[in-house]
Amino acid sequence: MTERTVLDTMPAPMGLDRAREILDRIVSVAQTTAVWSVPVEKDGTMVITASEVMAGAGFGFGGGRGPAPSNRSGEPVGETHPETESAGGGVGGGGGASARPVAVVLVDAHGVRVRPIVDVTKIALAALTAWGAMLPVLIRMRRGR
Amino acid sequence: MERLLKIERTCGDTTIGGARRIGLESESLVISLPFARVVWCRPTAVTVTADGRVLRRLLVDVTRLAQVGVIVSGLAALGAARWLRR
Repeated sequence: MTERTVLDTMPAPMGLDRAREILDRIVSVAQTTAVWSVPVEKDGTMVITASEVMAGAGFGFGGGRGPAPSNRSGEPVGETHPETESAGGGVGGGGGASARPVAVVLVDAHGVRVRPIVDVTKIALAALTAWGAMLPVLIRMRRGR
Repeated sequence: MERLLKIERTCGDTTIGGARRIGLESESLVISLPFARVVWCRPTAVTVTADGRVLRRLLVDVTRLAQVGVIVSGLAALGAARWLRR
């Protein structure tokens, strides 16, 4: 077996294609169709929800080859021919997508209205994080006077 | 080769709401790295066409504005405290 054929037996290229395919599928979630919901009509009012969509994915791979496995004393097992060289590799990755409603568009006989959606929890968390980080600095500055 | 940073403005399908035509606009930011990709897509405006008139209403993300406001106010308070300390 030549060096090239040893590398060809590594599983990485196979997994790489699969990882790329998954990456494309995750990212394709964040499209215009996902941002705007399907209009729902009830009692003469059409409701369309607008959302912010975020998606991300990434992957990595690695591989290597070396001499034949050795026993506990470090002596190679078998002959040290290229045929006895072993190779290995792998691919790993991850991704995710999230959506957050931003506004609701209402269409009725009176016209088109845009109603914003306020996420109080997100604002409170931002306030707690920001002020929680700044308060100790302010206290330290006050004491240092 | 794909561009590292790509900003796209798209107009979604126009929906018929009574005698009106509604266009849904959105904006997306795509960051493409060799082994990773991030997409951020947000709605920007609603275009209403009625009786030959076109009305464009911008969508404001109140939550995002409030988040930025809270962080900016905190940083401003920190800056003010430092300035007063001098």
